Amino acid sequence: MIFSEFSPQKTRRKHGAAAPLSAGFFDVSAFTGNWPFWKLGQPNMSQLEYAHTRNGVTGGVVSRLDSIFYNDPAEGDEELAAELPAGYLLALSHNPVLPYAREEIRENRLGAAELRLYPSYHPYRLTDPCCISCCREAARAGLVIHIVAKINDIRLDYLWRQQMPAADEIVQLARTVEEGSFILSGFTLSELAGHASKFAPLNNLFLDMAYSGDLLFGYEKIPALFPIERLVFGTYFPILCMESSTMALEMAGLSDDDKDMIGYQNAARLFILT
Amino acid sequence: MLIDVHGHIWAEKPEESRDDVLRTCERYGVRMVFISTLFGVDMPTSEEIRTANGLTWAFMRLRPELVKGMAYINPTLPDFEAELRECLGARGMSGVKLWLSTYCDDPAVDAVAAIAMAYDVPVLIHAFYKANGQRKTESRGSNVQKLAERHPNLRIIMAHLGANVYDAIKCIKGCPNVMVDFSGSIYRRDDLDYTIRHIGVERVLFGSDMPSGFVNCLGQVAGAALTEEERNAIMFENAKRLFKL
Repeated sequence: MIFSEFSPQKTRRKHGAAAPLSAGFFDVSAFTGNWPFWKLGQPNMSQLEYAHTRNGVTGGVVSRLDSIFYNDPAEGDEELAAELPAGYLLALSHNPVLPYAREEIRENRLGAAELRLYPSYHPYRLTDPCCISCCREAARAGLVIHIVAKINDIRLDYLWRQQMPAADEIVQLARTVEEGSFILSGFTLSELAGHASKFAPLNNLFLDMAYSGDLLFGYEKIPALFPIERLVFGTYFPILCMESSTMALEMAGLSDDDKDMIGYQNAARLFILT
Repeated sequence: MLIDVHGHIWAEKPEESRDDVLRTCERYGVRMVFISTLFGVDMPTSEEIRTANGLTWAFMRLRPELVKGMAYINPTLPDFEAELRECLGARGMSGVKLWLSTYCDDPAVDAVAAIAMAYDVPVLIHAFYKANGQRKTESRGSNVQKLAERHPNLRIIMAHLGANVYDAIKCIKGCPNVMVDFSGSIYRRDDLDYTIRHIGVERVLFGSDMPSGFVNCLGQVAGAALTEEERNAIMFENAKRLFKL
């Protein structure tokens, strides 16, 4: 038997899509900054930008990981806003329990496009009044509301145990703030399968595919679970591997049009990208 | 070129998982895959073990160039030795698969190690440390370390990087007879780089746990900071060396 060299790029071309996505990818769940639980190899904005370019990602929505654990998340958000390159949108990492959260969301002085919520790390439930009022304020300010149900795989949480929000809470929030547009991140396809009947009818809920790699041929299975026009592409970089996300979509057995919808067009509609 | 050292058929749905494996190999250019068949139970009976290995053997005969078999064994069963010898002897399987039925450093595994060494084949060990939902006798890196130190001539694959690299990799760092695969559903960006930094690229194998998320593993190799030579080592050269292909 002859063994020749392995080339990821050749494999992508040979076994992947017939052509790259026409508009490139748009990454709805990118991060920068430090993470308390392990040393990230590529924590900087410039490294995110380089990884995006290498993988055909033309832009994204970014938040600062440090902000999650700051007493005042704005301290991290301000740093990120100051270094955000063209083509990228800022996500505020607010914590609704802070008494000034609603006011700062209303002001949106950093020009953010998204409010990113971390209920698995912050001490509130999605159905608490403080969260609902922040989400209403975000909707009024035209911000997309992004529920990050988990960041780390919960099986690895031996230092800090995340409490993933219950599916019913997510449904209740999306129904209560029906004027808002939501992205839900952090659900694997296996986890989603158990709640698809609850999530799929919510027309204001988009699903980020960043954690979708648990099933082989996952992208082929998901249209049976969730409307394809509300799937958006995310990477969770630098927590998760960007190439795993891009290759999963590139090499999926979907039509080029469907890949384009998931990879870019659905997010373009949501964030009004031009 | 790609050799996948870790794939499965699920005995509850053998045709579906077999077809998924074949589709994966065809779509992504896998040249060889090492398959074991599992039942979705922690403690399989003798009959289930025989059925599982029978399915693996049938798959090997269906695609002999592509599919190599790994004998699935429950070392706590009184008749496991006969089954293991049958699989490694007459059926020509390439290695042993240990899953959840006992910690891999349990004394019962010493007999498995002796037979594996006699047949000159490696043992693939499921090692998966979870902060929640750990199974009763689910091994982690520290268990693999103890087995490896007790049997320094036994060739071991610690699967899934032990799930949490920060728990497992330093345990097996001093055990040159332990290689690792990064199969499983956790695909953190830095896991592979961390592993290579501590044990070197020559001890890392491509294993996907197919029919789970194969493409994630492929992406991890593409994303890691590797030279072409190092990438080839992971994708097939190390497997060739381990399995003496």
